[in-house]
Amino acid sequence: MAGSGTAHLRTADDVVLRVENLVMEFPAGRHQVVHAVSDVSFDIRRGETLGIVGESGCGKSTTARAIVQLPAPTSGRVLLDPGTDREAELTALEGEGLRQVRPRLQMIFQDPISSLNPRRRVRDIVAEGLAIWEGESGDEQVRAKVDEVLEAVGIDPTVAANRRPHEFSGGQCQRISIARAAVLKPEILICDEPVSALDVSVQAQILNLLEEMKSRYGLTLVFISHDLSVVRNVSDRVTVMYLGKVCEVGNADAIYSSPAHPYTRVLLASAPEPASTVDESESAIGDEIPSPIHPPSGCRFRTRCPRATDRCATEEPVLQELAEDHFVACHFPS
Amino acid sequence: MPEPTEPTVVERPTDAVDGLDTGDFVQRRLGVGFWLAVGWVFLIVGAALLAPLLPIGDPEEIGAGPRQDGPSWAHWFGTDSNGRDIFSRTIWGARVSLMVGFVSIVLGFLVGGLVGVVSGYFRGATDRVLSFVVFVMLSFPSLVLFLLIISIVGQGLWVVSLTLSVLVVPSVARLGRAITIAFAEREFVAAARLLGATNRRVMVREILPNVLIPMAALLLLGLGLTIVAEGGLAYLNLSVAEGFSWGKMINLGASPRTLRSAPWVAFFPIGAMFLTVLSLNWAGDRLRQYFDVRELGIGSR
Amino acid sequence: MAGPLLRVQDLRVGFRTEQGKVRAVDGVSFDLEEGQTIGIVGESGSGKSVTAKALMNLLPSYAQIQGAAHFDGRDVFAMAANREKHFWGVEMTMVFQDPMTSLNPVKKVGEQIAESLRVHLKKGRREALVEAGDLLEQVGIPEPGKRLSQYPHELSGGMRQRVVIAMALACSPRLLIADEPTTALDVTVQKHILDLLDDLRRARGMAMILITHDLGVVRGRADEVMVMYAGHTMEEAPTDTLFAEMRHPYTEALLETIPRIDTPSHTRLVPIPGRPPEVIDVLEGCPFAPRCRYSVTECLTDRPGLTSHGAGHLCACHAPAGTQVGKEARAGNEAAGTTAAGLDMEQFARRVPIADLNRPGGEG
Repeated sequence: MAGSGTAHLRTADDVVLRVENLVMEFPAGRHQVVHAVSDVSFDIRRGETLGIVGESGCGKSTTARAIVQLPAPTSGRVLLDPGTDREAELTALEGEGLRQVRPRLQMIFQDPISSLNPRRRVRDIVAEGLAIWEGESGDEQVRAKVDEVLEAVGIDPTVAANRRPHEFSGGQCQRISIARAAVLKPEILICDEPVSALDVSVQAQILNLLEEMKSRYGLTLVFISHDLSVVRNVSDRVTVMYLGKVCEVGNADAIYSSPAHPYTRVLLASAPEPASTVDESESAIGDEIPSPIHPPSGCRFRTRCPRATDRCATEEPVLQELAEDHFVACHFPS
Repeated sequence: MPEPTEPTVVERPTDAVDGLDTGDFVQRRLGVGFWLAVGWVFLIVGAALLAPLLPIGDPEEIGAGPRQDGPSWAHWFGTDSNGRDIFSRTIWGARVSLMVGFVSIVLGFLVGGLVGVVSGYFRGATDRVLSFVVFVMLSFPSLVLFLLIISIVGQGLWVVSLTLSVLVVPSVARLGRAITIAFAEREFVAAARLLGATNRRVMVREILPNVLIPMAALLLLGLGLTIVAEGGLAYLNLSVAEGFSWGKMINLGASPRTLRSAPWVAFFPIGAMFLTVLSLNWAGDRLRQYFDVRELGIGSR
Repeated sequence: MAGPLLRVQDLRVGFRTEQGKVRAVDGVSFDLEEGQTIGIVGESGSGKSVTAKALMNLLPSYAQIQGAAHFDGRDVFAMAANREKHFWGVEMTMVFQDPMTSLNPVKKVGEQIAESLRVHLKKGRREALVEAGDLLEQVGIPEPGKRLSQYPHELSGGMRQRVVIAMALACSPRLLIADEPTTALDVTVQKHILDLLDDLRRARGMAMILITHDLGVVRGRADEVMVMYAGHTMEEAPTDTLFAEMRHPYTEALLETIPRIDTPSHTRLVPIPGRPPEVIDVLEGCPFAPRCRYSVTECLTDRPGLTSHGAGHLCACHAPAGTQVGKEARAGNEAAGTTAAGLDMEQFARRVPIADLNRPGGEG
């Protein structure tokens, strides 16, 4: 894998977010560098949901943080509304310029408790975006907007608005986080493992809610998760990542019904109830994920890959089109 | 200090049961001791503030009673070698002791807290510079600094308070920095920045309310320390020149001869100081525990 | 001694808190035969972990434990009271969710495994270390000799969990309790660990309690499954029976609410509305009734007892799914548009793909 390349980027004029050659490196002491994300590119069209799936350490959350410049990536470009008169290159902005475009891109996080300031009331938390850009949370207009968005996420404002986060369950906190993000009517909502910390019986509520919010507010979603079933359910397009690289990109149903990258196949075979398109025995690979400080040469998956050859160690595979809207970075795809 | 509010709904207590090893179920009440301690502090502060109005004798009146007379109905705490009333002096002495302690700790917390929050929030170069300054301040021999300042500027109330506060700043800054870092890494701070909040807004609205509570608990502990520090300085004749404090009273009563002939001269101011500092420490510590569990979410998932 | 290896009868665990008594486990009974696996499935707060901790004598002293548990005829709670030293960690052991809670970060892996051999089985240092190496090999750790002298932080998450399993197996337990053993691990490693546990159990004729929030995990791995909710047993059955003839509406809802890897994108999920109850006071009626599609008035007032639905199949429900009563109850609720507990039935609409309104136009 390990795929670099930009063959999968689209030229359509309704692309709202384009990430080009994103690289994120952190110092790891003793002059070493963690290669968390290495040359990742992708784009999202308006109204689309892009799922990013991979295991811990694959760089999916780092990518999300790099898109919103918290912190800014080591190199690469992040473009909002490329090719339009609203185009903004986030990676070229800083300070006040960056702050001005921030509302267009919002995010919700994995830990519902940590996502909300324990010392503020729900009304103030949800009104914060409006308070920054429009007026304080006491204003009549702001109040009305907050009530509306709270109702949209299924929280009764008359009961909840004056309470503090610790009085709510994880699922409710996640609803409040969604309301806080949606109140500014962003173009893009990045969801970083939004249901992983929730009880099974609550997950579906939040997933359904995200779908509803998407059509109600015209959102474009980036949905990050380690759970393949969840990603398939919400996504139009899926990106599979491994050790800071993209393995496979494409239409969600195409990737799940004809997975081409060996790593995608391993993931599908490893699920508690494996996908019918792969054989369960394909999950048998080594457990040791290489260190991102010294990632393998060539294809980063080759150390665990059943199909790896000498070529994989010397030549990094580049994303290539396999079928319409289905790209894979592998020398020996299925 | 804001009155802690009782939560009306408790988030699934069984979560806590699942997380038994993580130290939930710590005692969640402030307890009787806390309120006794608070009561004592209020009593002392109230008496000190209202000293001119209280029906007690003039603390400076020489010969108000016999010299070195033990506790009696006329003089509850006895008299010192000048025949001054120790009860009255203990109450009046609280004024200087508490004043110096309070002013220095509050100033120290304001400056140190600001430095801590700023360096904990911004990290990077700002943090490195500020941390270095704090480090130098911590390493400087404090008594030498004290002597230096006093020999140059004199022993006024404000000079002593300010100097003590300078000594408080570095420790507070370190604490403030640590607490700030713990909160600055939480997602709600990232969320606020994504909404477009300026750094100042994030610090004031998101970080500060969270940092204040644990800091306030530590302020009580710190107040105990500065009161003791003032006492120590007074004992060395380095404290406020004008008037008198508990420390100066202890100094007067602590010569071996007086201790033998009239132990009450030193005992009562020592007792007052001890109880006050004990109360502050107790209350501060209980508050810290109380909020650790409830608000910092330490130990929760 | 005939009879099951472990017999738990009417186990109740309570905790006194400021808000009242938390009934974390409220009347749980089950038998576990030698060499068998029982899966306990439930969400956080269901009481599954507290049940395990009660059996492992790991609950704090203020927990109020009632009921009985017998291991091979011996009273578990009496052994706890007598401070029996060589039972837990020897005959009954446990593997936790996070391997680092069981590992001492400043001690070498080999020493940690050898320790229980030395303490419980009085083996010598050298002998214990050799055996520790064997154990590491058994749990599938490559180069066991080298690993013995490594520290936990030098190992990956999956390797750490393997070490923890090796520690749990050191004294050849007859019962292993695995509490969410793979939840903290990566997807590709989870399956390996579960398969390893299964293989080891088979090879050693050991019994196992597999605790998980995921019905998919117990499928094909447990002989029997017990589904818990709010401290109660909702349904218990041989695994195949459970998946073939699910009776409890909660079990059914749990299975339906999970997105499936094989269903197309944007398939609307059947939600379970509301959230798990706070188990503070005695519940009147069924704890799941407020979230249940089948609930009838009876469910709100009478707590259903476990009734038999075939060989070894128990279910605590007044209107079990798949039965005539259940079908009528649900049809009644659908006709009325609301359940006895006031749930709007419309949200349970069958899985249908959400209209294509979200999708972008044809591919460019």
